[in-house]
Amino acid sequence: MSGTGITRRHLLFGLAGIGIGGAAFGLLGRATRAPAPAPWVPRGLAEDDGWLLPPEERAAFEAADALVESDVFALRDAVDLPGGDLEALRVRSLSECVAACEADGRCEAFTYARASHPQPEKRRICWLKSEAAEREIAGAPDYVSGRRGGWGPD
Amino acid sequence: MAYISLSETGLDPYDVVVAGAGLAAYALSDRLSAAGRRVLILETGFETYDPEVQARFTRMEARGHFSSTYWPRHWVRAFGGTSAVWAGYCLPLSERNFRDWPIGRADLDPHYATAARLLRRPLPFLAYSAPFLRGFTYRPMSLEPPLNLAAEPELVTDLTGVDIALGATLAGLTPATDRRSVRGATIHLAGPGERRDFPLASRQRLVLAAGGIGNAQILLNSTDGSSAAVGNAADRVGRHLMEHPHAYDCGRIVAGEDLVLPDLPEGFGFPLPSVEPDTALFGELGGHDVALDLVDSALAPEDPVERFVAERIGANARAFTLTARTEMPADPENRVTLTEGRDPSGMRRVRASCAIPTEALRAIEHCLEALSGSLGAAGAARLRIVNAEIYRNATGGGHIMGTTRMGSDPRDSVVDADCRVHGYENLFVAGSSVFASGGYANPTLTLMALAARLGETLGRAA
Repeated sequence: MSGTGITRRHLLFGLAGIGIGGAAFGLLGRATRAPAPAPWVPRGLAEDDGWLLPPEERAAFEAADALVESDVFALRDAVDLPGGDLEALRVRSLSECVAACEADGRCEAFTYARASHPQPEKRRICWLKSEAAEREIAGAPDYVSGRRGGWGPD
Repeated sequence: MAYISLSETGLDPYDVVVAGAGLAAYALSDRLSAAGRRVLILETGFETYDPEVQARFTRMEARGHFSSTYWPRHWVRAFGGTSAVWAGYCLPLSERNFRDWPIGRADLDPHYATAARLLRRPLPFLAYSAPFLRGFTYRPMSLEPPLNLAAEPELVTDLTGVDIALGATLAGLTPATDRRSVRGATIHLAGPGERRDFPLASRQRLVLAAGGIGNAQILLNSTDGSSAAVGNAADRVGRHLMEHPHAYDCGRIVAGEDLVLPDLPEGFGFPLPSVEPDTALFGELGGHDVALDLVDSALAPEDPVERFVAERIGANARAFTLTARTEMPADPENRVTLTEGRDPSGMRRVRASCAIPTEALRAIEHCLEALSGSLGAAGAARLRIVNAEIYRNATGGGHIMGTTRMGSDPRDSVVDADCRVHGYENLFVAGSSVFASGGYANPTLTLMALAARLGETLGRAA
């Protein structure tokens, strides 16, 4: 057999080389490929506002509607308190609404509309109230209301 | 004096007879005049718009996304035609927009320059585009003041060899026995209030430039009832009716200083900033072309998300409102047909049935999503999609296209690459009714380029 002839051993080594090389490139590709970016999601609440935000921004935006504690007011989630409006403020968060009522000596109660409100013009509006209506409306998840000094007997 | 009375002159003195006195007729006549041809323009209306003439001649039926009052607003029956309501948007079709045509962009390039000259536009917009964010090309429209022929009739009346007959409606064509030419025209004259038949010699050319609805109406009415209407042997006349679906205010962008639109070339004039998908994104959209106009807008703090986004971006945040214009595929079932009743010229009235297909609207949505991704990857900018403006409130642009479609196969089109009605030596069509695919660009510039091209062809002909 001459030195330049191709033997079965040469062929086997060649095939094995192709296999190992392919696997190595495959692994290299997997390691260097950028991870697919997370899709930007619209808000999954009652009314889609249409904004495409990265998930962490969406979470930060929605966090401003979460219930907060107050020393001055008794807050009730999902409650609308009609009537007695002093002023309607456009605010960034529920806590901004609470602070606005706290700072206003006339303000006995407030109602805050979450950003999920189906009517765009009411989203994140804070109504400061002199005296609340006699009957609150419960079961309204787009609202949070608070009264200075508690709600009295139910 | 360029205005003539047809009952006195007849058609004999003219080399070319044109139906309709709008911007197509202007571009056509300009080239024919330069070639020394004698031209007669027939116009239903008069020098000033008459709402009664308009109402009597354009009353029609409609079904689909466009109402019976929609189409007539873009089918103006007066000297100057629909230039009276044209807003002045100009952009040539791009090469990919000629997808279904037997000609390409290069065939029209010299004539685009003619059309731009007639519309008094600086030329740089014809060739300008620049890469923008990933997936997009910046390609603003020219938005110089529109040309209203009704306000400047001398542009047409001063053309040497060009005459105009007002109150004259082309109401039918008589084919020669061998159906290889048109040998007569029936014209309704408002003066005596009657239809008259005028013979056409074989050396005389006839051009329909009566708008996308009007051109179809004239051809469909050109029959004695015992055989196919002129040009309609393959039942293609009136079909493939297309619009450009528009979704106004279908998006918002809030961006920081790092969103910079590319510089325009010297002498561009007044631009409408607009982006279109690049080749890769165009493919992903399934071959539907889309333009997104970026219009400067005040920030809207009443939208809590916009306020949140703007405050994160900082003091330099600014907003754009997006309007989308998109391509509508040619569908033979979107069409103009004849219906009951007759207009004052004796032609049967028309009915338009035209529905915007869902894929045209999806292309807008996907284009907005892609732009959102590219803006986010490029820096601080966020985009809002206003769903209802795409899927509920999309409307047209008054761009009536496709009803006398251009093609090389007479079984699937009405005119050939020279705008000649298949089989007829002396019958031609000028206007957006010959568009085989429509792209997204407003059609005025392109229909004038086609008319100028036809004018040069007919000017050279013996």
